[in-house]
Amino acid sequence: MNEKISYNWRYISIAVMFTLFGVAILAQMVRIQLTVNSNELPVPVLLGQWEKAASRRGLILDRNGHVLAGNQTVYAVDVNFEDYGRSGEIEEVKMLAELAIESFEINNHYLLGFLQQEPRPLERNITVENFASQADLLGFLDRVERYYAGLPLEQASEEQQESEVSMYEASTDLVDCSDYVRISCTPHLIRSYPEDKLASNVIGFVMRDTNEGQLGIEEKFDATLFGNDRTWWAFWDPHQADLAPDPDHGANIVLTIDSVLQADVEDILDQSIDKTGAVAGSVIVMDPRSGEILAMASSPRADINRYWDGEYYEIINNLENVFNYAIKAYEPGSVVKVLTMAAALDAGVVEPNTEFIDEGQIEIGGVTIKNWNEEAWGPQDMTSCLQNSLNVCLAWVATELESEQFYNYLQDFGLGQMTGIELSGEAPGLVKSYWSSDYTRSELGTNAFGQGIEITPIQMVKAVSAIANGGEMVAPRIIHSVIDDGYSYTPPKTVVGHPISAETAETLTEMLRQSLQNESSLALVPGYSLAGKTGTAEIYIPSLGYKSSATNTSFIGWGPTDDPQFLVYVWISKPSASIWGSEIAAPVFRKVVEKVVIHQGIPPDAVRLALQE
Amino acid sequence: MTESLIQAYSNSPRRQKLQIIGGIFMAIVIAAVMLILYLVISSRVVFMGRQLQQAKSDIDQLVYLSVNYQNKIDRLSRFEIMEQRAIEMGFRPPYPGEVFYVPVAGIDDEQQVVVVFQEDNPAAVINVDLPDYHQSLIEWVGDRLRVFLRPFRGL
Repeated sequence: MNEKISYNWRYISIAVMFTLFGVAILAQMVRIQLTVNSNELPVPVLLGQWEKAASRRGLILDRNGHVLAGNQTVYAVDVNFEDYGRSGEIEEVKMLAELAIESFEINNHYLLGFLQQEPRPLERNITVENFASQADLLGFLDRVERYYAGLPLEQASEEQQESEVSMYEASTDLVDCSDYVRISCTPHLIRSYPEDKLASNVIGFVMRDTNEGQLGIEEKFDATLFGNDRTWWAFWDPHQADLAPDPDHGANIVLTIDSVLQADVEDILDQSIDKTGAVAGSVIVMDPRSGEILAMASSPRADINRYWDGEYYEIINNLENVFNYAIKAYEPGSVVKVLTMAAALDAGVVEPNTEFIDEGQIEIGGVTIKNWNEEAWGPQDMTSCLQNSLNVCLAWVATELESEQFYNYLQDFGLGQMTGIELSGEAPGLVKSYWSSDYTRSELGTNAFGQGIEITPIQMVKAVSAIANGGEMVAPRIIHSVIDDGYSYTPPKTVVGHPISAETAETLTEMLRQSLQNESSLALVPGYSLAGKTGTAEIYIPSLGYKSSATNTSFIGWGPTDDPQFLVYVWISKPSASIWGSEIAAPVFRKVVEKVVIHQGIPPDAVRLALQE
Repeated sequence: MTESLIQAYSNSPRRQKLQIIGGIFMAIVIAAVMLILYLVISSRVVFMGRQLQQAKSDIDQLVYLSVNYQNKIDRLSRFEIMEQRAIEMGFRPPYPGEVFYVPVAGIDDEQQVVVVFQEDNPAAVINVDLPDYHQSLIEWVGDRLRVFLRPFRGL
């Protein structure tokens, strides 16, 4: 009997337990139904997190595959200041904040204020650095470890510190912060320019915060280089794993630039600017047969890895908003005489031996035009007019052409029009229409020698390619090819017109070759036949007018004259050592050509002609 | 006589109870088998999904790593560094008058642009084409049955 009672008690206990359990489940169900807002409950299949996949911005390479713009892995570093209710927590988060400030050199006022705030706010993940380099992050973690281990935070000696920094810099393995309770680090990619300043004016840069290309190639081809934004909601539900998009890296762009030649040309330009006290300048080297830009130097330049630094920020965001002087419009001066003479020869209004008596001045539209030395040069032929750069002679040539014909030629040469080169920020320049209301006839005379019009160096290079290239004008281009998903696209050579005949081009080339030889120009390179023309333009200053002490000096030339393989344009702005293009820009041309012939493997004329035979 | 015996045997109360219990057990066993099958399939899908997620994460890590290496190479082969090395080795840039040109038969002296850069291996693109991942339960059972029955069919 007793045994039966004992068994009943056990059965009843189990039954009560199950009943209570069931009742608890029912009660919970009722509670959830009545009290919890269903909208606030997480939907398991939708749980996940925003993730940024490793989408790589396309590379920018020079014509030989040398990387000019690549990528770099950096880390977003979060520190968790949350209150876990442990003793000494306040001191711990305070020290972490101090270490972060020192290691990442935090100077953002808002973040700094937060990290130094007293009493310490115990908040969740705070991003202390969004672009921490591998070396900075490893340094930070090392100091955090030292703090937790009770070791001194500073190294014993500077040598030891330096060796640790170089060790961190040498490390390429990804940093894993998962061992740290309060620190997390998420890798992501940013733009990196291994060559720092080299070709910076051509490349442009990428804004770190917005990841948008600014200026140059980076802006012009932003969408092509960027690929697709791969920030997506990564579901934790493994059934939806296949919804994650495939990586979509940006396309790579190969430039026509030769980085070795570019570096040499930039050096020559910098030295010239330093030596002559100029404020800015640009040199373009183009292959006139294909329109490929082999070098495009512009000064001043900026380290585009640190575009926000004060010194570089000022260079990029200058008053004129010009970072690449090769595409900036300016009054070029006498280099335009080449085009004026080309038009006159092509129209048949003058011939090389046409005689002109230079009386030292000519009046056009009520304005008296004088020569650069304000002297009369007497009887001249057209070659000596170019050789002596006589304003009066060229103004007369323009009057012989008359406005309609002269400006039609300038339009055919593409002056005052964008060339379409693949760079952001190209200026169109300004060449007035002869029928516009504000046009005066005197401008026919001044425009003939490059004053009163604004054109860019790249426009000038394009226009003169017609003379160097037997009458065929090519569009300058700086993109060699675009490579995407293993496919390559190479834009073809583009002939954009024949403003003059082949005979005119040949005649003018010979005239310019002779004029360089006759004046023993500083532009000459022994062994090579070159054609070219200097330019000196007074700069218009609103309060002072044209002030001859401030000039733009230029030189345009090409060679070898019988088989042109390079076309070089030099512009040095506001030199103080001399105001003349023949003394400032011509030597730069010579130095550049000395480099070009070696880089391009162009032998001296005698050797080349002997080899051809 | 025989039929009435069979009827009496099967209709006996004990037999009827056994049939009911057997039926219930059979249903439980079938349900359990189905449940196990479902769990096996669903766990396989989850496993595949996790593998896929891991693969995607690994690809990202590899991209970060390869970018690190590429950046290191780019920095080490900077123009400035290479020029400095060349100078240290006793080289200097030539001038036009110092260059000798030697004609070599069969060599075209035309300057050709050679783009030495090669596009990365496109293996980083995942193609989700795992049969197990998209297989339905019925297809999976059919597959397993075919494998199981293969020896009996003499294949």
